Amino acid sequence: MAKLLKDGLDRVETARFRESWADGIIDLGLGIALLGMAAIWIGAEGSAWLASVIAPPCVVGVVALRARVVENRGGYVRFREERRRATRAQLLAFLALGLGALSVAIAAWAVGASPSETTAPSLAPGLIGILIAIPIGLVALVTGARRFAGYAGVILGASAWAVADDANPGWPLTAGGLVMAMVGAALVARYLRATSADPEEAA
Amino acid sequence: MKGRGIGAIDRVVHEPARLAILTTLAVVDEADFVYLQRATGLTAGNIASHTSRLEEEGYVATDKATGGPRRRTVYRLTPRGRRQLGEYRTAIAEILGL
Repeated sequence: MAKLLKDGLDRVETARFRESWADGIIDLGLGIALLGMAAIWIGAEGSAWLASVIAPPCVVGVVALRARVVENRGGYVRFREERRRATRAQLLAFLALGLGALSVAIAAWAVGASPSETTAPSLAPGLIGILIAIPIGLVALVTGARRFAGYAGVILGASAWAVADDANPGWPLTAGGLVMAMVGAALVARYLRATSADPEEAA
Repeated sequence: MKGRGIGAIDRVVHEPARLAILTTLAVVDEADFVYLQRATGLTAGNIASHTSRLEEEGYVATDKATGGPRRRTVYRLTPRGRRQLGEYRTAIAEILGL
């Protein structure tokens, strides 16, 4: 019975934690960052390394902005220490994995685009999408927000198309970024409607 | 029924709004007034009156935080509140045969 009761509270805690990611700000921010990276890949292929430079400040900025907005409108909550520690470690791992993936993809793209490359079909056009989809999919595990798995699926699907069509690696990022930004914008709008900018406390 | 039965139900905890507040606070370290309002769906007046009662009983502790753009009241469950909630859950589970 004690286990049943503990499981009940654990479920409440998991639901509360999952709800705390429903504002959509991360989706919108990462979606816009992906679109920015895609624009670099498509518009200035030679400067693809810039994508790995703009990604970290974007992620850090979005996380900081989110903390301010959510705390101000949705209220302040501090989850249990073990939850906070695990989330912090997982998000740092996610960031490191994302940056590593981006670096590997840029290197692979540079090699794939070199004149000495053979005529064999290359995975390079889809590699960046595949590698970026992995950490985005992992966000679903960290936050419990399953929509991130859906974003990863969109990027993977678009990456498969990019490989088959030998398209620019920026297009899978464009597809994922557009979906994330649109879903994020809808969630942010819903969140802003549901919360007040200046919540009042009863005296 | 083997347990202590209905008599073991703490009426302070048993009230639905207070139960919602206690359950929310039981799964986090601390939360402010606005978060409690959103998490429980209770009105500001309800939150204020029920948290006052819980504070009087020693189930909940409050801090007034003045940093940031607005005044904030932060609540957390006391060890006594956690114990009472645990006993309440045990009593309810016994009554329901869980």
